[in-house]
Amino acid sequence: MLITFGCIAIFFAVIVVILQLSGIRDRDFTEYAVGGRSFGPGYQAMSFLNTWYPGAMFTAFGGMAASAGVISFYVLSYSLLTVVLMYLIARPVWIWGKTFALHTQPDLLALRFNSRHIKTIAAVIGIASGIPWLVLGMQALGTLFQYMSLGTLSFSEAVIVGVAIIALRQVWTVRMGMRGVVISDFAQGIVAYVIGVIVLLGLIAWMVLSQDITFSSLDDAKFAIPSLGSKEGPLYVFSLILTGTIGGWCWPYIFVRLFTADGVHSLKKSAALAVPLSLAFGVSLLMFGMLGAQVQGVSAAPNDVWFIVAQKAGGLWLLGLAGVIVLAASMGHTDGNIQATGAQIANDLIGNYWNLDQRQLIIIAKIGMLALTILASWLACLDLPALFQLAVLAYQGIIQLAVPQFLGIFWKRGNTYGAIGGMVAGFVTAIVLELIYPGYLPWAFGLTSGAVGLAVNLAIYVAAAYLFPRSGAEQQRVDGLFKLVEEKQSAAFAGSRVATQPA
Amino acid sequence: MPAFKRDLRNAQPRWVSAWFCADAIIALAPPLYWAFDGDRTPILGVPVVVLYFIAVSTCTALSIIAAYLSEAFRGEIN
Repeated sequence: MLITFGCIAIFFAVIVVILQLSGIRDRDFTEYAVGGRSFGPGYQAMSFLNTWYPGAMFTAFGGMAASAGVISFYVLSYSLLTVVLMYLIARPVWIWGKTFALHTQPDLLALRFNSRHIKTIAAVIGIASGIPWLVLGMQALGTLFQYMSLGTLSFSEAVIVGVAIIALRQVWTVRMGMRGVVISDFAQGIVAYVIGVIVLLGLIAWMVLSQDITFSSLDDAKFAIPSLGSKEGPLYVFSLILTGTIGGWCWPYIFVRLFTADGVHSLKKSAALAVPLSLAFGVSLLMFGMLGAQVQGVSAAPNDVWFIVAQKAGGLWLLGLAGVIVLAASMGHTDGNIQATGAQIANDLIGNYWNLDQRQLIIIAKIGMLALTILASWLACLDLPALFQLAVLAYQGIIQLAVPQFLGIFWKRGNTYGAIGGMVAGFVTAIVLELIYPGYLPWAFGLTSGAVGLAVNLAIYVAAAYLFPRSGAEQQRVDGLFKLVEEKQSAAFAGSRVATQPA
Repeated sequence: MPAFKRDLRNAQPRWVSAWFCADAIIALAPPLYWAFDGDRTPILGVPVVVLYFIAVSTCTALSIIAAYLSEAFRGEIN
């Protein structure tokens, strides 16, 4: 236990030292909420990965690969496709963010649709949807600390220890805001995904070369993808990948990464830097999970495959390192979630109705983050059997932000009636369907509730765009927003032409 | 239409847009993944159905890298 907890303590101390040495001071709300829009591609790439892939990847998706097999690869498909989406929206979102001093996703919607209320609605959907995942992340630490204690702690005791450690970590998140999050993401990301991939490849090699474990000894069910005649329905995988892809940039803590970069170039380069690591991590983790299913003890507890195989292959030292890797991934997601939510509470809820100065916004964001940490820590220590279902439901809800968000960026015609009406109708449809048909809809060929809600949302948005024409002034304002992006693009193109002409 | 004006209208070169569309099609088109359902024929020890997902993901990752390199090479990212 000294070895495993020693590894955790050393890692925690290193992260705290990095944060302390960075000596961050709040200057204004832009600094606190989006790190002063100052980060280059390396920080952006690692910050995206560390927020995107939580520690639960090793438990939930590693476990899914071990128990269900190849279908778990859908997470990799949508994790990469969502970066394509990021590549496409990077320019308009960053330019509008910089020009109009936007700090959050609801800020962007308020700008595009010229509505204060859409900001509140988007913030409420984002915050409410994010809490179950925050609590789930804290509870996942229970598994981590139960293994680190070598079974000495009960699961509930391990959850309390995990929650206490992650809550302690939030002291620096609250103090330092986004700059602290991004700097620590860089260090945590290297541990979680660079060292993580090395350990995963080593464990795969150990299973294949030393234990004679191969794909050929897995049963047929592990290679099934739900298709025609399946229980889930032929469109189930399509729906999972589609909602995952477009939903990725609906999470406030992911979307805000578009505002932390120092330019469009950094955003696009960060995408190019992140995808090879994301691919290597996803492939190695999911192949590890599938092969790990054959290690003794994993079939009874597939979610623990990462810890079981690490301990069998490398003893307590490797188990300690496995714990550090999961903690590094968990910290990144939790910090990002809490920081983005705190900023939304100040900027999109309180600040939307009261005139607050920079200092007041920062103080309210800090109070919001502290309150959220306490709330999530308390919930994580409760026995909440329906939480995972709630988290799935939340995912089906959050993607309803996608219609006004993406169509608002690429299509001039949408208006505030369609945006608010579609979002609310889609959200309600998704929740009602998810409660009646949890998981997937048998009468819709396996589509998820979120996908059906999205269709309702889209229909309302498009119908409203044609049925309720905007005023001339509003039309002119929206045209101006799109023209701004075109002008910046033209300037970049013209600059490149001049630069490439011979002297 | 001169190439310069065509480029201004479309943020990405056409081949990049086409590659991005292909990413979406091979990842999402149900008939494609139905075709690989349960296919465990090994290629270098890895079942074809696993290789399908790896190929889809690799294609997507390469398209993003190629898009960035293309834009960076032409100096069109500000």
